[in-house]
Amino acid sequence: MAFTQAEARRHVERIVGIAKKAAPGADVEVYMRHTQRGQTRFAVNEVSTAAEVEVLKLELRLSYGLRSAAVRVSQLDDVTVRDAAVRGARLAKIAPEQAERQPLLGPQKYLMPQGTVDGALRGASAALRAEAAKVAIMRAEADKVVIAGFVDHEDTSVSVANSAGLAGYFEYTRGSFDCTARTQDGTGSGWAGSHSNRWADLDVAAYASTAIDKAVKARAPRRLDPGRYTVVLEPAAVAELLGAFVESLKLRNAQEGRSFFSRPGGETRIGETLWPSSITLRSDPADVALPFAPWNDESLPLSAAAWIEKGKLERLPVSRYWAKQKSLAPIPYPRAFELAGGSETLAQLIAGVKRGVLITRFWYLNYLDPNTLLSTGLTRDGTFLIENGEIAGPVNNFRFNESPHTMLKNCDGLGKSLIPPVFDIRVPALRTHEFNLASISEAV
Amino acid sequence: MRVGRRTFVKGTASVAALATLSSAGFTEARGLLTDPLLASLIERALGRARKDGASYADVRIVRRRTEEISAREDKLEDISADDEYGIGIRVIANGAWGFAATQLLAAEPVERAAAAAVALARANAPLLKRPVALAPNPVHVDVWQTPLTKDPFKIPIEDKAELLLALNAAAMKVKGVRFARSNYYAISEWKLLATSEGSFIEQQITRLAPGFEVTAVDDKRGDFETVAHTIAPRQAGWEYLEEANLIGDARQLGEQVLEKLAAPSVQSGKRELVLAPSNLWLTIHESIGHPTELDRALGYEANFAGTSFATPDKLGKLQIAAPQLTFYADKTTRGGLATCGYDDDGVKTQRWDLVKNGLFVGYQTTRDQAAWLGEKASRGTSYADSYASVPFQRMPNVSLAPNPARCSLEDLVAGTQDGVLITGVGTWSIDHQRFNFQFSGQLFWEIKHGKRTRMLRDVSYSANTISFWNACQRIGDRAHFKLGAAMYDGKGQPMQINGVSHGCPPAYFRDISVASTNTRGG
Repeated sequence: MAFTQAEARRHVERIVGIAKKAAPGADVEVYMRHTQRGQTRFAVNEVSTAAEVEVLKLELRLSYGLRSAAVRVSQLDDVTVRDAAVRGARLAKIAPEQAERQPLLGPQKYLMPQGTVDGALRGASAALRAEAAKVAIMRAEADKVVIAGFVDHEDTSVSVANSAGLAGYFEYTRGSFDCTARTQDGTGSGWAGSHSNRWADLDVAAYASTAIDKAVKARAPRRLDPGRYTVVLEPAAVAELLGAFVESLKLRNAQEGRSFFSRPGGETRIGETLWPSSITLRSDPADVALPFAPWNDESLPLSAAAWIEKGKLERLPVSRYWAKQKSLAPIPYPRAFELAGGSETLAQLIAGVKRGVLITRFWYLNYLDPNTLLSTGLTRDGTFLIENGEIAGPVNNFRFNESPHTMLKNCDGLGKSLIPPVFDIRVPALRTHEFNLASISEAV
Repeated sequence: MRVGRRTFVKGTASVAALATLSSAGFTEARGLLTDPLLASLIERALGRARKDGASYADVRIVRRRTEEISAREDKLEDISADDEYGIGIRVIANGAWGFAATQLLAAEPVERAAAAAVALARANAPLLKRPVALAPNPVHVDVWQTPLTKDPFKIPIEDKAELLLALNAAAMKVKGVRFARSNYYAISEWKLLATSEGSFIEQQITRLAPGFEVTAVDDKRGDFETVAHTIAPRQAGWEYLEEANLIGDARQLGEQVLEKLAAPSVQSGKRELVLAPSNLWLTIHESIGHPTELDRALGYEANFAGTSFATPDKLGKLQIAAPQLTFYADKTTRGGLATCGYDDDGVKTQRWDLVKNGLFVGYQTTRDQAAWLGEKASRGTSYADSYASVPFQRMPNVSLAPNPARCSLEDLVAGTQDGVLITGVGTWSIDHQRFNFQFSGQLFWEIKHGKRTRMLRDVSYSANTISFWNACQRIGDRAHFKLGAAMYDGKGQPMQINGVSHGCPPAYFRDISVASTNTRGG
């Protein structure tokens, strides 16, 4: 079990006290993360490796004005903490000034979302994970496919504090399950899963069935030429491509002229309507299924915010330093985003396509051009031709070269927003047009 | 001295072994981890595992120290240092693997972790088709450390900060360079491996990863470009940076980013390519290194990292590359990020061929995988990225053997009619069976009739792995062989990172698809 709030407070107060004594006159900041985690991997229809781990990370930052250094250790005993503080102070004193460093924040009021901890996950055991793996393996054997997957759970507490009185604590649990089924002839592959702060939200049998069903339906794909297609992207594919987009949401880069959101002469695209009115991107730290500490990396409190509202870029996150430079209020970068969903089911999104491609997920994304957010990557684990509003059969995988901006600009249909496996974001399935599937991948 | 299985049973091996190893000068690397503490923890962990019924156990106590500094333009951004340690205990019980880890280095938590590892193995055993079988391995009692002259952790922090700020300043002197960013990262990985078979191995691995990039902005066009220096991460001491003469390169980097920003986009089409080692290493990593991981080829990484075109039925049959190309794995390469004396199974590291004269001939294996191929010994490629991570098969350094005949980069350029020379690593992507890849670079030069003519931008090249390597017609010689490296290669669930180097000479390819990535217009 992760540190309780009372345990964490005792540790943090002791640590701040030791550091202040060891480094007189220094500003002290503390970040502490304590995790109990269990993991089980399975592959080729058997369990492969598994682990039960306890990990503690303590970061101490010591600052003298603009001179600052951070030291991270894995132990909480007095000797280690004192040594870390002395080392941090020494590094800070001899280092050149860091002109962008900001003074300590005083006490902050952080949102404390309820229900982030699940008893079932807090007490989860190897047996729980083995049972989940067994369910998937038995289904795979019954359907004569080969399955691989991962069961993971954690109970984590995070704490922040500083010598100016700031203090924050957050505990969450998280469980995840995802699996890939492959047909025995190696020509079909399917994938499914999810994660949540509650174990009861995870329907392992359903995920295994979905992955197996996709693999069987994807068997023996026909050749489809590369080109620009209407595509229906399932949530995992949307999440992957949108990742490149949300990473670039930074006011400073935009004003420095090195971002998709830049305009010539130091201007930005804030206020411009760049996407259809159905596109809204927001963040909400109270979304307990995406449990993250309700403060950002600068310890600023997070609150609900809209970044794109009905297709218009409303704002970009801005750090404390850059806000001061530009006489603005800082806007903390959120820990998780939500692309607002629509009302269509996946079947309805497909029904709206005369000829196109259904894509389950992407793989190995990377930027090609940060000017336009042009990215490359590949489809995998379930790629199907759509003809006259229906699935016409499996097709080969593709490499795509496309920008998430274009994906949103050409979007004309949205499903319900949900959390896809692996990703810390809520997104819907969506339909978009002129998507550049640039070359064929032989991979299955 | 040799420490056998009997001493595991008696639980006295670690004290004797520590006494032997202490003379190796690891005191500083161990920090607070004193001999009596280490001996006690190892004995308790192995003893509890044995008592609970483990047929095999190993203990890794790992201490990782890092130092990181970053600077942008004339400002230092941050300085940080890590010093983390803990213990990971791995067992085989009822034929299944179990693993548990804790950062609490005291008797009770360590025994609790050993018991948890055994319990975990027992819980998973009913879901095994075949019990884990470890390939035989001689008992080793030894020490190993990165050969270096100047321990980077003893170099004053001011010197490092000064170097970064001087780099940025040198680049910013070039009129038109708007931004410069530099960083320094050093990691010292100390680990002690004790196995129930009696192996006792202490290692200290030191890696450096410098970085430096400059950016130019065209305000009128709303356009920008960045160029990164090609210096590779390396196992080395501070002398590596002293010898690199980065400041001497800074001005040239500034001039190159301006030239790149003004350069025309490449015209898409089939071209000849000349790839410098600073670019080609990553293509080797993705298209030869990963496909020859045995666990991937057999489906053990299917849920995340993917599988491989190089399945065991193709061993000895598939002509992956042109006959003049040989790729070898080598965990003994001096300076290689994956280099060490012994892997995390306690297997002595070695060199072997993966592709010989173009033919696929070998895999990367660990002790629990060797029997899957019918091999009698592991290739020694087990690695875990921290005390809290399960060791599994990770890529060794994989390199392209140089041409025995003399051949330079300029010789390759001189033999090119209509091509592109690419240096540095840009963007990269490859499918989950390692067929279809697309790479970019940092700098691109047009080659016409054997001469470099002008700089280009927006260049990517894509190919199928097998057709690409079979299109390689000529490579450079040993004098032009260089090591590139990936500091953060990812694999596994949860993802673990691995540092790995790849040596190669420059190489010439014919008829490769080159595409412009320009979607800005203009």
